[in-house]
Amino acid sequence: MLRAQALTKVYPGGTTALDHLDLEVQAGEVFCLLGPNGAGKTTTVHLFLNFVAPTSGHAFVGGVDSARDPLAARRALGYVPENVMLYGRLTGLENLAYFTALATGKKLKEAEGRDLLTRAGLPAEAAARPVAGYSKGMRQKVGIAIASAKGAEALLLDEPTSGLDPRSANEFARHIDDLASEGLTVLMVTHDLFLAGRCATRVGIMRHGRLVATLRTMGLDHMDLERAYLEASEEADSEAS
Amino acid sequence: MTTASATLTREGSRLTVSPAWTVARKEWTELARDSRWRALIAVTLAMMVVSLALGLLHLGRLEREHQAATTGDRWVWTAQGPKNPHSAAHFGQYAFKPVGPLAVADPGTDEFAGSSVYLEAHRQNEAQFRSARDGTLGSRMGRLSLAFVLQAVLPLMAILLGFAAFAGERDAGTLALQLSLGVRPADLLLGKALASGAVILGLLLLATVGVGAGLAVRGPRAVEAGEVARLLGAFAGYAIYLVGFLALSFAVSARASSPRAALVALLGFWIVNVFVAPRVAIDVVRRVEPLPTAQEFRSAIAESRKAQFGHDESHPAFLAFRERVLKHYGVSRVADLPVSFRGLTLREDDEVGYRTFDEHYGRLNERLRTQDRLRAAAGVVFPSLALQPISMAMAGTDNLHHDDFIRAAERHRRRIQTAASQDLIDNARNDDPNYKAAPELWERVPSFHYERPSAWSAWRSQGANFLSLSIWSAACVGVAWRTSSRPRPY
Amino acid sequence: MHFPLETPLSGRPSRRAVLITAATCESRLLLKDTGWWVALALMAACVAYAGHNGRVRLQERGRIVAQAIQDESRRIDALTKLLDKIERHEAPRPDAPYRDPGNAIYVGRGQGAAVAYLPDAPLAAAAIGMSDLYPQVLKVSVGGKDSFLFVDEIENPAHLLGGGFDLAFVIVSILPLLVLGTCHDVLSGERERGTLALILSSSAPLATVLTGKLLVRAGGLAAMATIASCLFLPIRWESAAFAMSGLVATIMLTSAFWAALCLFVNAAGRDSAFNAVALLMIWVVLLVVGPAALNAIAQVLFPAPSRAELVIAVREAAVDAERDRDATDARYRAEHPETADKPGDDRTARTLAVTVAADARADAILNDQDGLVRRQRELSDRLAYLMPACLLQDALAELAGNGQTRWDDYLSRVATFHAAFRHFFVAKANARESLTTADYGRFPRFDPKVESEAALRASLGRVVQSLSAVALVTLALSLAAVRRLSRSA
Repeated sequence: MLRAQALTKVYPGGTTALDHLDLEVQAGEVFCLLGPNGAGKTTTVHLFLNFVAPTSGHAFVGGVDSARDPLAARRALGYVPENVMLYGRLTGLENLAYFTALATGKKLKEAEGRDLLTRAGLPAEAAARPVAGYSKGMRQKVGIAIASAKGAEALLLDEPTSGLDPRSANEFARHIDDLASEGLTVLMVTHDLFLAGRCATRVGIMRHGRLVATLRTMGLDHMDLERAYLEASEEADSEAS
Repeated sequence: MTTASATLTREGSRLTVSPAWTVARKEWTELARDSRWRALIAVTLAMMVVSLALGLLHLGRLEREHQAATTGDRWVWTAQGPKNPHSAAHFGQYAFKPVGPLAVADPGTDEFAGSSVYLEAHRQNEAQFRSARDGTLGSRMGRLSLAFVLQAVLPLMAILLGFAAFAGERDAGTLALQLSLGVRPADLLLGKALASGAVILGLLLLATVGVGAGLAVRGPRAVEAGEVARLLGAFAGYAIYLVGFLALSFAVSARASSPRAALVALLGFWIVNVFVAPRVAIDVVRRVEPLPTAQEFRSAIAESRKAQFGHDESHPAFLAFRERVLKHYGVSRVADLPVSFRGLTLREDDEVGYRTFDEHYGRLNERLRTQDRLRAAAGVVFPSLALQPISMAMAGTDNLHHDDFIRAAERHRRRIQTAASQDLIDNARNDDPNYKAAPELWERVPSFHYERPSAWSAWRSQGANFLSLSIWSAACVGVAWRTSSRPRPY
Repeated sequence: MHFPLETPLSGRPSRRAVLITAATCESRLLLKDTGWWVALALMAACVAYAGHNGRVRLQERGRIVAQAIQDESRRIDALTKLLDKIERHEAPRPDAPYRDPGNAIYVGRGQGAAVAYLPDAPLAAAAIGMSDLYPQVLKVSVGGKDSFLFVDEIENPAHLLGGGFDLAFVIVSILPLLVLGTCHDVLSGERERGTLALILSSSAPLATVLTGKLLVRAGGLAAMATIASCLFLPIRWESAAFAMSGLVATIMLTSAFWAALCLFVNAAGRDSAFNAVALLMIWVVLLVVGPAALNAIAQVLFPAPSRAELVIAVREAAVDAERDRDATDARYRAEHPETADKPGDDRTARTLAVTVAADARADAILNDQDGLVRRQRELSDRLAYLMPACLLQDALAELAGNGQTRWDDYLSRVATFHAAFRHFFVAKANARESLTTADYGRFPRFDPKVESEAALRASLGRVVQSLSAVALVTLALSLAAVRRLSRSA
């Protein structure tokens, strides 16, 4: 569903953010990208969305090269950034209706909207309140609801749980599980090893714009993951030096 | 397929909505919930209402004054006792400039151009009494008129509506979310333009309808087809101007690094456009195309008039004319002429004078037109320079309308001269230097009546300005389209 | 930012020390600020351009006056020469009285008219004021004042409407923008850069530190405006001391007023973006919308009288005079049937008497109207106290000698001169004397140089009043800002 092929991004300043990344995430898979700041994780997400144009290589979304046809690629994607920013003066429901209408061109019925928000974990009473009073986690839930309503085939999550309290993070992880079991492709960028271990089917470790290791999480707990992460990072550093 | 999309397909018989419309609806909801915007729109509407009300009061006073002056002048003209018609022609009449109904919206140059012309024998006078001279210095800082609100305040509103359109959403993070949904950037631009455009053009429409209604309240006669055509012209001009400002705001917003940078740049342009550029244009044009001083102008006319004999019976031209007349009537002495020779000389002298005045005033006018054209030429960059003349032309308060009034007044002056000379020719005896016409003659000479040029002529005179305004506006739309077609989400 | 305070151990440092330290520190910061240098350069460029425009306007005015004086001497010369010839019997006396250089009334009403003008004040280039609306030259004649007072210069009405780019415009409108540009973030900027905590943690009072900063920023711009004015404005230095000190005071006060506004808005504790927008909106209200609204209200509340009324009244006087003369004529003819057919000297005398009476009536009407104009103007001026910008504009026009006071004084001097001028010619005519070439040398001439002390004092008073009003508002704003600051700290 998501495929990167020798995907490279060199920023105008000369910084190589991503260096020949090859990656494939199948439908129903939850793929976690781990790595320190500046490893190229967010750039990868932005390249799939074509928020930035690749220097070389391709990012395919369901067979569509996102640089060729960014709109088609984006239509298949659901994007939940670290900080889901919504319109503060609109209610959660209105925000959902707005973004859904933008994505699908269809009006969302109020009942449907409420249903989606509740399923994303938003308290029912909050749906009709202006978003300006929402917490980060609540906005995150609206973001997930938008992706669901849109009927996205793949989700791009950019550090979705940073700054969430453990309970919210746990709820979030459960929700990802549900979505993946429905057949959604998930590409998640995170620093949270625990979350990665909990949700991911596979984990990719990035360093200096390259994917230095990929491992299946089946049977690994997060301590194993941490060890693998540190080893891969050290290797990459020694290679780089 | 997710459950969510399944839900949508299950009940997918709903009408699809265009994304631009969705964006527009969202923008309106946000505006409606923003108390600052509610206040701003209320203040703008209040300014429109107040300026219109003050304009109507002022118009009413000017019309009463004009009525009184016209009646008064008719009275003094007809109150003349029996006297020589040429002496009556010297006494003359006054032409008072009537104020057009649309001056309520844009008083234009009326206060700075004379309001009355003395129509006397032998010479064409310049318009007198610039009412601004009797005002205060403070009044030179502008006057709250509807045109002022539309020219200065509404663009400001367009800027406030547009500056955050992209830069602000980018800062807030909502731009990335929208783009991630696969929305065409063009739809975003269109939706925002639709929402802001509706606010701005709605206010403009209200203002236009307000003027119509204000005039209708004063009397149904005031709103004729011509006024409607003029209102339409003004509306078109202002609409092009405001759409351009909105587009410019979007363009700058899409490019700017932050909403603050966008706002500062746009306000900078606004200030230059509304305050600095017009003044600089005036100073430059005064230098490039200087007008003659009054002394030069009047001396030049006096010089040309030396070719005329006037009342000088030793002037070669006079002698030659006498020869011609005597020959024409086949007599040898003036006393034998069947018509009044004095009447003939006056008519002849006037005819020559008309050509002199036409030439000198024509040249002066040509210079004024050139000045106006040069100033408006900068309207391609600073649109208020192209809009102001359109607005004043439609209101009937620009230099061209003033010129038309001056010409009409001069035509009337010539009518008086001709009537006076003709009466001498027909009725005076050559051996009676004390001929006096009866006061009935004064009654027969009509008083000055002025018809404003048609709305069509106002439209036609503004072709170039409409063009430069449209070029500016189209360029802004083009730039907005281009810059927002590849918006940076972060 | 650090504050090398003089008395770090003995508690609070003196305000003066804080002020100096803050100012010194701020100047050091500004030296490296490109934006600051751009603002200074813009200020200088605007003043230079305004100075250039002022020079051009003065030249135009000079040309108009020179032409009028030349025209006057040409007229008088021609008449004198003709009269000389007539006196020496080299030329016949013309038949028509209006072509006779000896006819006192016709010469006084026409070709003998005397030129009056208001010479440029030392600082005339600083503000156009009302000078472009007034005639630069008056040709005072024996006729009614209305016959020469309203003979305007030729000017494009659109140019009168738009005004020009003069120093007054730069000081009243552009200087504030630059002050806003450099001072809008005087407090919010510190907070956003994180340096505010440092200032607060020192024992220096915040208001004093900010005042020090504003002093450097707004003061620097004002100093630049002053220096540029001295450099680029054509000034007659030898007599400009008073006007120049007034100009400097106006510049300082303008930037102080806007700096105080910046402090006041900053004291509300919002971010720089908010401050910038709020201050710009205040600029729009104080310089654009406010004056415009005041003017529109003044126009409706205190309208100037219609000059058309004047025209009609003067013409009615003329018609009455004519009837009067005709009636006297008829009476005279009835009493002296022997002279019925030839109008002689008596008739000329009677014509003269009624004409003079009609002129006097016209002048009385004009005086009434002018009184009304002045009253309405005073009422409008009172409204102007609501708008500091109007006051500053007025002060600058007064300092440039292109304001109302000096013009009114000029008009009253012209009125006195007009009376003397008329008397000279009417007395000759009444005495039935012909003018001689010697008389031509004795024609009353207008002395443009004599300005009344009272007018200068009135102008000074007006400037002081305007500036004090603005100073008062500035003071009130600063106090309010300081109170707000001390409360929030």
